[in-house]
Amino acid sequence: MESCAVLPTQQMEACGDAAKQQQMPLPAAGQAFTSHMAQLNAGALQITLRVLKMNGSTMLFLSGKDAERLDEFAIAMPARPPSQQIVSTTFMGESGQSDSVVLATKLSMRHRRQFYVSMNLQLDSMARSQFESALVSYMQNNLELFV
Amino acid sequence: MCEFETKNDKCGFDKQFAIDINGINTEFVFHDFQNKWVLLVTQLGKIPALYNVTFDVKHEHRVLPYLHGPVDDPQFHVSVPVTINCCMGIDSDEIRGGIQFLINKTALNKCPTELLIGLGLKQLDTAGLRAIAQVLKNGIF
Repeated sequence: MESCAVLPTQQMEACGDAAKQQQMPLPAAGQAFTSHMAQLNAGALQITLRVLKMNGSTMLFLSGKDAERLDEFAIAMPARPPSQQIVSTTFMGESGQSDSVVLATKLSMRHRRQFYVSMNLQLDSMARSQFESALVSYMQNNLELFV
Repeated sequence: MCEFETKNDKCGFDKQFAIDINGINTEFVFHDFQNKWVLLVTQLGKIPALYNVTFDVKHEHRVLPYLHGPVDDPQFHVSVPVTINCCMGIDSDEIRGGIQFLINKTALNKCPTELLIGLGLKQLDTAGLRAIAQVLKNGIF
């Protein structure tokens, strides 16, 4: 698959029959990407949310309204059936249990979909629960923008 | 009760569009964060890998050897010095080469911070990369 992805078409065609039989079809691009931006304004909670909906996965960027940073990034996705587990990791920023991987895991569990999350917010427990309930209700009301 | 409010339901980033490159639909997403530029270019409908690019020379000292930028002649070829780390996905020399090509050829080399880039191409060839560089020049920078 990897070799097919990097070879020009002419070279791929020049491969022998055996090589041709082993070629896997390239994945279809599917639907076009969509994106949108939303903001949460509630006292000290000033958050900007940027969402990119791709084919089979969704990318979320969360950061302060004034300073949009990208410090950490995590991914979570459902494991292959029949497993019901979610596999997740932080691949940028804090190692271990980052805010991003916690949110990505929750979203992936709820929607059974791959989620990339970059959450760059410093929240106390009160603000966190407020933020999470706001995000959940916003996603429920605008589900087509996310999944 | 605090609620999120949609501010832009068409485009959530500085740039997000799709364009046909050599007959293949190619998605572009670009956003300038405070500490990072993010660029996604994919023909696969998803992101196969993400690379973090750090520039070895500071922005103000990043003087290219030629006023018009790196040249194609192999004898005089100079690349912008960068360090590329694969954060996620399959790491391949071909993709790294493609990223270096785009940095050499476009205003990506003027990035004042770090660059997070995802490159998902069905075929990695010079014609495709040149076309992508042209789209970046015209559509983003």
